Amino acid sequence: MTVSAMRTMSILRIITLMAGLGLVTQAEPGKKPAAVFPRKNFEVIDKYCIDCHDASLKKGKVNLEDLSFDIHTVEQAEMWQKVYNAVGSGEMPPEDEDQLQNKEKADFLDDLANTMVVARKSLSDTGGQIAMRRLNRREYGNTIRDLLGVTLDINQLPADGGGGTFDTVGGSQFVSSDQIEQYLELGRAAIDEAFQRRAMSGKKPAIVRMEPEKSIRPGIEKTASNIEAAQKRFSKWKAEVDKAVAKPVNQKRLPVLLKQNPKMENPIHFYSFVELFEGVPPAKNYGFKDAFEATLQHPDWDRSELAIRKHYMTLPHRDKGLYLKLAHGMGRLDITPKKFVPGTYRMRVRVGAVEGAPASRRFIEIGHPYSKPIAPGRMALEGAPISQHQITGTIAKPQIVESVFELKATDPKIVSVRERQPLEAKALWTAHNRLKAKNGYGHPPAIWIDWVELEGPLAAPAGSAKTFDWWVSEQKIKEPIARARKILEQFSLEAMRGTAPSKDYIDRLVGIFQTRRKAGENFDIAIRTPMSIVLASPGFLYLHEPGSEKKRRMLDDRELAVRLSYFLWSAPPDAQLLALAKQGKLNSPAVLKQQVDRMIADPRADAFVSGFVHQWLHMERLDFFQFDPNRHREFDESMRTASRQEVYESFTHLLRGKGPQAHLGYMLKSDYVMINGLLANYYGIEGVVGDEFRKVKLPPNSPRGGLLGMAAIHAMGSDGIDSSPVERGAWVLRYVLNDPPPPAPPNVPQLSRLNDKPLSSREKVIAHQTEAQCASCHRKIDPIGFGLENFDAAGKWRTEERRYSRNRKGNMTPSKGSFPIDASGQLYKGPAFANYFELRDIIVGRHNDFIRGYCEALIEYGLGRPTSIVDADLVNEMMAAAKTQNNATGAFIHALVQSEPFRRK
Amino acid sequence: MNPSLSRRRFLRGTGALIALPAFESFGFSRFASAASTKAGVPPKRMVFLGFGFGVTKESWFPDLSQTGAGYKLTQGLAPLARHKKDFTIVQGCNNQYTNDAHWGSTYWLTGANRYAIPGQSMANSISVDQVAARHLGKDTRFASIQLDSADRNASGHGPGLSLAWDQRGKPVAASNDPVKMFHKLFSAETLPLAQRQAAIAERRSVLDAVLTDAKSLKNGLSKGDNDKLDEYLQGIRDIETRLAKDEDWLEIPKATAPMQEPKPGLKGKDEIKVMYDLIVAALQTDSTRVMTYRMPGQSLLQSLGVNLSAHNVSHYQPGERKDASEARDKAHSELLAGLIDQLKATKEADGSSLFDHTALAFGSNISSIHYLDNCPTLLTGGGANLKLGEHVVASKDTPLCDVWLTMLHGMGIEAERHGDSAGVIKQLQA
Repeated sequence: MTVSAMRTMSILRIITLMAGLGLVTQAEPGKKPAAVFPRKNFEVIDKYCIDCHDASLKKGKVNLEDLSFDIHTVEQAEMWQKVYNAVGSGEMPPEDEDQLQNKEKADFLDDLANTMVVARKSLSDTGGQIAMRRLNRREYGNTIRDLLGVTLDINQLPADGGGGTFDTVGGSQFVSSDQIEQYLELGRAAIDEAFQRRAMSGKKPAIVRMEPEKSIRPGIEKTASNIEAAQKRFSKWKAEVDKAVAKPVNQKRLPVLLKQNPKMENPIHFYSFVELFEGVPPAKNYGFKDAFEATLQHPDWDRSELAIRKHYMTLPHRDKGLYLKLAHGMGRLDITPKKFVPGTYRMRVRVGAVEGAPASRRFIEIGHPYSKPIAPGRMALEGAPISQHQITGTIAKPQIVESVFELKATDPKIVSVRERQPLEAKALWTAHNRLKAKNGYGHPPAIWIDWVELEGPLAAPAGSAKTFDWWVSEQKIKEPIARARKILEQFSLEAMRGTAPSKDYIDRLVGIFQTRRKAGENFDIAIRTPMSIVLASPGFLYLHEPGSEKKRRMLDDRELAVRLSYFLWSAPPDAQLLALAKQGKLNSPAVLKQQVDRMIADPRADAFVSGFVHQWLHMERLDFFQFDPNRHREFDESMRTASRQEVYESFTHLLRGKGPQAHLGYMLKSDYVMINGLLANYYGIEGVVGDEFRKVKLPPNSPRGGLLGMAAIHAMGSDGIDSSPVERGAWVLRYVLNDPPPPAPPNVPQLSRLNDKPLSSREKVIAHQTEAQCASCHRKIDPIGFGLENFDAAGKWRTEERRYSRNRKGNMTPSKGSFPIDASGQLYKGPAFANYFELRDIIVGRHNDFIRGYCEALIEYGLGRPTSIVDADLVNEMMAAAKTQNNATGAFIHALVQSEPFRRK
Repeated sequence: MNPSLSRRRFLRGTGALIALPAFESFGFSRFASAASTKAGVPPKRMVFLGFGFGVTKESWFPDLSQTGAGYKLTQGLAPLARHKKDFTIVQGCNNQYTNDAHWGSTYWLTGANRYAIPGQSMANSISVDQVAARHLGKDTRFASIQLDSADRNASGHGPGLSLAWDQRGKPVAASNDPVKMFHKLFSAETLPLAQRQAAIAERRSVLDAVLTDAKSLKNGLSKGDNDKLDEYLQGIRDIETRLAKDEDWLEIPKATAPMQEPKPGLKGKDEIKVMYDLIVAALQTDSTRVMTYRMPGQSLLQSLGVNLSAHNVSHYQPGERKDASEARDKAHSELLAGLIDQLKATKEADGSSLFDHTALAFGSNISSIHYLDNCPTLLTGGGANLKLGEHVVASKDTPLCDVWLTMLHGMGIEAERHGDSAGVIKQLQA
């Protein structure tokens, strides 16, 4: 058969296919394809590929003739992926063959990429089946907290989810032998701590107070006087040295030495080398190890920063408190509890801001000191601060800042307070040197602290961790084995959320208790081993619902209570839910509605917001990069935390809101923001003071209000240095417009080759679009990103982009001039916009796409399985139901909970 | 009824779908010390070192036009110059299914397709070290040892707990504490034998208890959910296997430490150095024959005085970031050269060196920046009978698993294939 004959054949086959006669060799009869590659692409395959890749030649073992355009199997998807990679990278067609036109190639790749997105999604479809899931680590931590009143460090457990799904999806969870051992260990730690906390309850919490002017200041002043003495000794030595160097024999030697040691040209470093001269008194005689060490004390160099120490010693109010330093000197106060017992602690700081300090410096951070040997700065904190506080008090009228937090058994036993600052101290040192050249000492003080107090562990608030209430009643049983049995029965029943384990199981637990007793342990110790086994048993770890694939049944009330509480609280059902379940009332739509309202209003629903929103909007990106403190000094850990909180608070406001004000669309644009003093300062909004988040009305024409105006969203679309229009555009497509672009293909060139030229972000990205394989996706992504270019990498508003170029060392440094921001553009096959505000309105106009994405995310998170094609009806049902409620954010949750899939096994 | 037999029977039943090795406690032969099976012939060992985010493309990979023994070492590999005859660089290999540019270790040793299992967003399969451990791990106290670094999340390794994945594609846990690892390997047991035996018996009774609960749960679960619960049961079974092994080694004292106890809190470069010491010590004492180490990225940079995040550095551009990237490559090469020195200096009973019997691979699934198409691969050691001192450029898109398969064969493990392997790479064989 000739090539052309084969070609005719393939076209014939194509025609048959197009006629829909279903003569596809691999098609599985009766099964809907996972994805369909649009038929118009037959033409491209036929024109450029089939000559070599037909059924008989199958060059490179690639047979495109028999490859169905309807994707049913993983194997077919893989083969299409290969086609995508080969065409995308330009590897195919081979150089000496006919090449695709740019537009043709972009369209082909576009279609194929989108087909692959659909295929991947539906190939991981479970057909609506919900795989049994275990507690993910958030839920595990909350469950232990509710059960025992103990906060564990859940980060010890491996992360769940991983790779694009929610952490509630059972099909993507795993468990391994190591993890089971971890559950046994963590369970034991939790039980031990519960006993420890119980023993502490009723005791008065201990208070430690630190008055820094008493405990810290003497040391600081001693250091200063030591440095001063050393500088004086240096000066004495220097006088003698200068005399010796002036002698003719040394003057003669000088040019030779200068040639050998060019560093001697420096009038300060000169003294490091003076021992090369004759008759110079040894530095040892003046109390220094050598000349190099002596030179460190040159007053003109002041490497020990005496100037700032002395300056601070001249400030008033030093007798009552301490000024925190920045960059050099004492900048962090550490306090340790008298006797460390895990529990709730209260830190109080009496503090005032220094008159004239800039608003952005009037914040303090409370956290743990950096514990690893290599710290990014002497005053560093470990990770994100526990809390951050705006300081409105003054030295004359200080305020008392209060922070209440849990100290876990695994936490560092020191708590610290410091002025808010970036993690990385280098930028502060640079700023210090700049300031010192001007004012003679460096950073002026901003924060003054009178005292610091740590109190705890505090008594648990009434009603929490009631687990051990029943313990007391069991103490009446005198016979230890009978008592142990009763306790273990009761504990298992609570831990397993109301299902009683088998008698056999309890027997074994009692047996283990007896073994521990025989080993010499007293009752209160021996009982802990079997109790911790309960916390590693499948009845505790898995949210199990008996059933069969053949007959899907409705959940019983207890199961419904469990599903509901893990959905909205990430925690076990409380007494009220379980009581309603027991009475068989929970499944009534009215009761369900009332319970969902109650649950959303409960503070435990904060766990839903942080768990769901974080994953829905892919906010893990917020933690991907460190922000360059030279360019984005204010985007420190405090700001990172606050910016994340802004997203959560904005959603919570709508979730708990009522009436038309609760419309989900306000996530996209609103005439208010949910912020605290820190964010207000960052956004330049006046008149907002304090740490609590509140609703603040925006002036007209503010770019803020809605996700697209939030610092967190823009920080997520950056690399910590520059804004990334591509990341931002892709994020908007994926999470706002529910039109996900294919994942960034590997092996595409990074734009680094362009980096030597000073280019604006926009220019850099446009360079992308010159290649067809990039253009296929980027023509959709980039315009959106350009429209957001008024926000810098850290989400601050800008109208021009600073120009950076390489200095001699090759580092990017600010250079003269700037690029004006051009935020105009046109959506691919869509409307044009002149600026950010118009783009935002176009996106608001597509809020139904946003709502659909929200529904799909809710289904996946709430049901614990990927959303799939079968959910189309459910999504429509939810959207229709919520529409009657003005698209209130909570209405979608009600609709999901009332739906059959939520209430069905 | 004997509870432990019924437990095992129960476990067997549930694992029916998966072919598993027999319990190692049956027919297990004991040795007075952790010596080799055949007197006089030192055993073969395997080591994998994964570094997550890739290398600096421009200065690490040798010139593609210079293949064979005559290639020129690049700047990134320069610190390895004294061993040039004893290692081979392989270019051109990749894992065809990997497409996440931040996952340098997840599929590095498995070659699996993330989407291979419908209904699951992430699947994996057994890693090559675990394949080796099934053959080499029978006669040592530890079938394999996994090491990890404490900065695991920031260094481009991707999901997983170590480089190792078990036969069901589940992550195998690792130790990231050199001090603990040292004690696990070398510290004598403080408890008397009877107490340790009692502890194992008690551990079994704990497993019996949770299994009883699992059994009552199984009743009534749908088939899919039963499969899910099987994961848990399999986990219990794995603990069982471990206990059985512990029991077999109960009366055999641990080896004497050939090194000092590490200092606590080591980070970055110092951590790698001490982990390398532990690798040599563990192999030398035949405590295990298979080791993997998922190395630090973030703290390595910090210990080099670089305060950029590892991710930032991986997206290097000329300037500070690229300098940092190259400094990291250089540090890795220096450290690796030191490890090779040690392996060469450590003598076996027959006068040969540990190096002669060890096969070591150093690399990542990530090539450079976010490229995945040329996995950096350095092979060294005489254990797998490979041709060393070469620069091998495999034909484009050769599965990385072909390298692993070639190593397995060289070790005498006749696996038919591994991951997506197509066959052995003849050029690599000595």
